[in-house]
Amino acid sequence: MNIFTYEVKSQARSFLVWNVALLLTVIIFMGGVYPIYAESAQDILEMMKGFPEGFLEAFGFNIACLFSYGGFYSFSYVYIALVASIMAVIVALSIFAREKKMKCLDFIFTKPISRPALFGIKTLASLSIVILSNIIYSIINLVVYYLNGQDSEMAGRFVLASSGLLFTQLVFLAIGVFLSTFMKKIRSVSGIATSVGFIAFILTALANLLEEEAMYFITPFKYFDPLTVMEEGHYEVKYIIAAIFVISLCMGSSYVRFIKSDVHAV
Amino acid sequence: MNILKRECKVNLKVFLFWILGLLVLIFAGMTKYTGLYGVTGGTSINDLLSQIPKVVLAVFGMAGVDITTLAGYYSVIAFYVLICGIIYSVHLGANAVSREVIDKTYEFIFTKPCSKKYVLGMKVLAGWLAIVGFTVMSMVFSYASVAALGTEENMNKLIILYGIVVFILSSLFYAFTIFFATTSKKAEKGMLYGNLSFLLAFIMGIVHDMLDNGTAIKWISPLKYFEANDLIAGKLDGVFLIVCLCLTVVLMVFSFERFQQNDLQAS
Repeated sequence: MNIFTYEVKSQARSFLVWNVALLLTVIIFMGGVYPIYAESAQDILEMMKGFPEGFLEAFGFNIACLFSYGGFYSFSYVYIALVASIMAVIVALSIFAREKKMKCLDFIFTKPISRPALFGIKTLASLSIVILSNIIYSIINLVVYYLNGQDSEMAGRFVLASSGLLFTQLVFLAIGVFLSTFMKKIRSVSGIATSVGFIAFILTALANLLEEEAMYFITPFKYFDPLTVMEEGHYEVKYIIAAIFVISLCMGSSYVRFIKSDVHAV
Repeated sequence: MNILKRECKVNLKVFLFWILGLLVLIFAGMTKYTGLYGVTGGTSINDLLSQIPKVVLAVFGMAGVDITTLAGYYSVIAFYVLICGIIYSVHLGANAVSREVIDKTYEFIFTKPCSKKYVLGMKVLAGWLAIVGFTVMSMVFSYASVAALGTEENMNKLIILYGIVVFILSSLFYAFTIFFATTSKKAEKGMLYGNLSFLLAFIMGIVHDMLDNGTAIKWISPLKYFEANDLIAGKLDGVFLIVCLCLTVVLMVFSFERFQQNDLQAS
């Protein structure tokens, strides 16, 4: 319990900063830009009727769907997920790699608590931080949804769509834990987190550009695509399986490594 | 000279990883270019696009550029190369100043018979060489990938311009990170502030893309200093070029002065 409170407390400030960043992103996109976007959407739809047929097909997507609230959220989601993934990796790295970074693993390992229990407590601490942040996020997201005058029929689906962020963060939490147990040296938490976040972002952009089905499996931002939920009411099962696979692989191998690793002298 | 050699060696492994990523990014990205010739039936797509408000185009992922041409398509890939370059340079900048402090080996290097400024100078130079290498490799890969496409279009000028942009902006963020690293009290904070400023610039870039009245926002979104359309037209924005260069030099000079005065603190 001591360790749990210590870990959570030590994260309090960065939790606050990142939550504000996350909420600001969603408020800017969905609260600030969406009204402008929706306004111009009507004109565009009119105008596009006059476009040659092949033009719309060339883009390969359903225009009407993209102009819906869900469509715009799906576009914004990539950037929201970018912030959220960086946050998740920071949480994982600072909780799991603190001792390694400060070279005091021997201190924590000599406490009267087994390594599996320690691993469990740290996992629990990072989980509770991420879940709490997502509860706040989902509430704000729903408030913005209603402020934009969307109908309540789709609200259920929208809640499900915004909960996708939690699952995305869980994937990145697992990746962060994996990195913190397997990397030899950790100099900077923020550097690793930014790299991971932007690698995922660029992978997403590439996957969108290439439209290769196979590539979606290595782009975590695609696992819980809000647009699928808004249209069909559920996530795609194959990507859920992919996410579970990534999480269990990362956490499992980290667990083994955490239990068995030697502690190096400084 | 020995310090420079050593630093380059230390940087080498990470450098190779970045080059590998760059290779995958450019080649995987460019191979998919097929061109969408002839779908518009005579009207150029640019004319159609110009009628659409900017915010809609940003959502469609082609603010200001026509991705159906090779030049436009390349500029999309080049933007991702730019992102990679900046993240890498933030990493390099923070390492140049704080690596020894974080690793607790600074007592070794700073007792060598040369001034602190000289040591920092060599470290900064080594990181800067890595940025040069990154830029050159990005240009080489771009050239090769365009050549592999087999279209007759001549992209050399655009590739060189983008190379310059990647180099200038990477150097700018390199200088920013070095500045943050030398002025902040805790060694690790330099990387943090460098990354935060990049994230902020990135988000400001999206905001700039979405809103039309970009004049004021443009000044605080360095990623949009040199816009794709200008580059495709063969122009580098002179004002922003000078702003970037001046800012880089000022930040560097200030950082060196500051570093000379700083006490070395055990973290």
